[in-house]
Amino acid sequence: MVIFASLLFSVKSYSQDSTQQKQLSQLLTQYYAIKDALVDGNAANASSSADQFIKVGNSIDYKLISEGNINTLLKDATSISESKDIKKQREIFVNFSNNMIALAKSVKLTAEPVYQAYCPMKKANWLSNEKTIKNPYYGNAMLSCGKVVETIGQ
Amino acid sequence: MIQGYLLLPVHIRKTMKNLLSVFILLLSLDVVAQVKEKVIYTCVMHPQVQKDKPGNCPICGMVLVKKTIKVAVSKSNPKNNVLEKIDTTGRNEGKDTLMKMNAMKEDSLESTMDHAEKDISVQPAGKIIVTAGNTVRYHLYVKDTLVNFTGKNKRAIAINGLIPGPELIFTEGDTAEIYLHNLLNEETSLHWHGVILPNQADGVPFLTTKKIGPGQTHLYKFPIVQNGTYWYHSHSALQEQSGMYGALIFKSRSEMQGPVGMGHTSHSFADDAMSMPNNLFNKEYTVVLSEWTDDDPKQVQRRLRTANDWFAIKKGSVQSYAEAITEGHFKTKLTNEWKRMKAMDVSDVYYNRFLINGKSENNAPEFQAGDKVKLKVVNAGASSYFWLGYAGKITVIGNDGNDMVPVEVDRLIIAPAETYDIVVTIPENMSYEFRATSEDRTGYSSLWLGTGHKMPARTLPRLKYFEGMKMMNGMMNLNGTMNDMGMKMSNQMMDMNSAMYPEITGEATETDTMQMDHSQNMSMKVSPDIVTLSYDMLRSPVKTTLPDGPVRALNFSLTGNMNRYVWTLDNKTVKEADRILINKGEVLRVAITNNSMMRHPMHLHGHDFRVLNSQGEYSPLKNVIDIMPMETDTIEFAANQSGNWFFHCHILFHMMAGMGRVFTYTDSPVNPELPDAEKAYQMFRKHKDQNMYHLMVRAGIEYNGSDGEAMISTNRSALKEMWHLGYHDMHGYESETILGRYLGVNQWWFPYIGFDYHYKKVEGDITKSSDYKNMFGQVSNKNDRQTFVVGVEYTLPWLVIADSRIDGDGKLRFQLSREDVPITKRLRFNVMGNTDKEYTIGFRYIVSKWFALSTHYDSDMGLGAGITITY
Repeated sequence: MVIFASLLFSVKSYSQDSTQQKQLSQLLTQYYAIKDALVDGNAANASSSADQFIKVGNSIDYKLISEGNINTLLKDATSISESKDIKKQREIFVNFSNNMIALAKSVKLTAEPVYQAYCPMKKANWLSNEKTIKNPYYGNAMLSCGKVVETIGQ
Repeated sequence: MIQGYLLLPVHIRKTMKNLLSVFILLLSLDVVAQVKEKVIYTCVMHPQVQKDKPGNCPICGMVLVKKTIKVAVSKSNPKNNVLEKIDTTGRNEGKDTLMKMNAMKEDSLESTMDHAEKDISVQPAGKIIVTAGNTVRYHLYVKDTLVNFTGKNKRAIAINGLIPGPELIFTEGDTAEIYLHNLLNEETSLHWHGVILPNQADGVPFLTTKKIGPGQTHLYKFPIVQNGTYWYHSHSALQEQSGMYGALIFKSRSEMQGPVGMGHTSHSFADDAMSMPNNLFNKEYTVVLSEWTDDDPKQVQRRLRTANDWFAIKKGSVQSYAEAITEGHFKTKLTNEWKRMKAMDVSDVYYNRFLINGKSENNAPEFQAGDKVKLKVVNAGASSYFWLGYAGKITVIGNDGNDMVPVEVDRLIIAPAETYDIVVTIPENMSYEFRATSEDRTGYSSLWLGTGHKMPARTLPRLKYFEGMKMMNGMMNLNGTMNDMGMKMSNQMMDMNSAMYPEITGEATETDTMQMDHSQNMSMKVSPDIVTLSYDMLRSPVKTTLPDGPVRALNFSLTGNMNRYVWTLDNKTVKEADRILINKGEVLRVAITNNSMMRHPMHLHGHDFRVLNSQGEYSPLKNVIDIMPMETDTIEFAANQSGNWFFHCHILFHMMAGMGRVFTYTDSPVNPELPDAEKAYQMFRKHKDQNMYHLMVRAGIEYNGSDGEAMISTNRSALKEMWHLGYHDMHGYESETILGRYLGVNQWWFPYIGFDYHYKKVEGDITKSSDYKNMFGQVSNKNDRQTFVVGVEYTLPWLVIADSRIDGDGKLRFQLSREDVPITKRLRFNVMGNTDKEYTIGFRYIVSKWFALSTHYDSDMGLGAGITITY
């Protein structure tokens, strides 16, 4: 009975096939790449990683992430990709990260744990694939400022 | 100030405190209405820690304390309440509308606009919304109805008693449940145009969705995952032409819906004004464009196939020799027929009326000075392109349901099945005309926005057909291939038809304009500096680039034949060609070249595609691409669906002639509606929509006999019967029956087999009659001939048919004939001669759709005059 109920529960949401699961995982990976570039203070890398994020985003079935939501993410990613100024990229990254966090909490992006970290100076969140704090908003200026506040997907 | 306060008597202080509290409460109510309260557990030392459940602080280990906060991201599971609507427009005929307000408000999240640094030039995007929406249900009843657009009652098909059908409104995140109740005596279907949905809900009978027979009800269920302006229509037979279409509006989650009440439509601009805080527009209005013909659409299709030029007569686009001579274009007309073309028009069909929301003229008096109105324009026309014009500038902000970077133009052309979101302004308290003029300029429909003194839109003068013919002559080679003259055209950037537009060539005069409002003291001279939208000007607000890696390139040419009305891709109809197999995860790049003489709006089901233009990474996303003659457009899309998806020209009569292909994803899951995929596909191919045949009859009844032909034809074959009957044996009787096949893209070759019967009584010695022997010296035996024939017809320049045949008696016959030379608008000339020493010449004067006055001289039967009946 319990098994039946849990089976019901698991097919309730739109199920993802392997191609789609790969795309979601790639989306997160590209987000991490943007984050890492910001940690390194490398605007050019942030821009090109944002371009890669956009490309994955544009191939995802709307039935998985709806048009309005994917466009919201793409709008910020486009802004990051168009900017050469790390400060501006970091500003956009605040909203971009909040949206990625909301997405990660509603759709399973990866089998690995996803760590939500918070920077009290910037009052902003980001996602990471590791517990070690590497702050994308300040980079080397304040690399370890922040704390993991939640682990998603565990 | 506090000291002053303390001096007041106690009861007044109390009152002030109460007033203040009430004031703050009222203020906060506004805030509270937009935010959600949430209970969290936090650490007194580390307030950034916020947990759903009690526990310990991960930083210092202290026990977390409970706290209620105002703004939070919530992941509650709302009750899915059902909003049931039977009819959604204010024009309903007394049906009850059941409504239940949804108890769950969407979590509207705090805007980050407040948090953005002031020195940043780029604004961050809003927030994503991940909560589920409502289940929204509509019941659609499809039924025969009588309409009267022209003074005559005619049969049409209505949905819930309406044409256009009701506007269906959903919000991104909702689940749609649409019940189609088929009250017709034939099968029906509905396709959700431009909508990304599971394959079985797509609505194409036997390709994606199961058959919905008479009396049956079908449920279309799919999640709404997009926002924008879309539409729906029948995908069976020619029902779309009879009225089965309507608007489909997907609101975005960030638009708060106005109160959902009786007859709520997007015409409720007062509500919508509240829900659209943006500086592009403050009100909106849905505009569904369509056309109406009093003719039965099946007859329209038949007349197109049988090349009946009645439509051209009605439209004044015959382009006869007399007209050519009058306009100094005799050589143009001669060259045109030399190249085996018939007079071309931009649109094939004659329509009695052009409609906006079901009427030729509409009034929207509610708009006022200062309003910026977003018109959600849907072209639900089966075959008409419309020029959209306004008494002012037009700003294009959306296309095919996707946002575009705003671009200001004077006018744009909208293809069948496209949608455009445009913003127009109301500068003063006057009435401004939004006008949709048919591409052939035989009519238009109007929407007047605002009240007061009328400001009309620009009138588009009639086309200069012979200029167009001259242009076509330049584009067509003698062998029937197109010649692009070295110009690589694409994306509507160069409108070759503009040679025909007097308003562009600067020759518009008072007499050219039609239906002028003479009460205006306005100059009708128009400037050639008119900015027309092209696809190249459309830019996506975000990059639309697709993943790197191998791209699968496909090429199609659009091919077709005006004379026989056969329209194909690479000269194969959808049932003649194989399905195109694609794999999930691929990126497909499809180059489409239009090698035909008409423009075609090509539509792909189930996907948005990039239209590669000069906007590069910001190429726009569309689902219909209008390709002009000789253009090559390239589209690109990610293969991220599964199942069968139709790709076809959205001119209904072209689609029915077979102009399309099917994309099929490999390894697709079983379609629950069509469990046997192969069997279903064969049923799709064998469906009568894909296998039309048409009858044509032309019977002359004159005092010397009856001459005529009847033909049953399909896309590729024809069975023809020709007769030549005198009233007595001296004149003779003749009957030829042939069955043949058309070959080649232009279908100029027609090999056939058949049977020939000739009887004529001859006085005296038969060997002495002049036609005893044919020109080859063979005994003709025309006077008592019953034999089989094998032959081939070929269309020569000047549309002369060369017919070579040999019969069962070994006799050869070579014949040249030409029918329907357009001398004047209604006068036609025909001539024939052959090696059996037979010849005719004749004239017909077309009086009506059904009959003409005719006369001819015939070598067998002499002179005759009478009527010719045409079916």
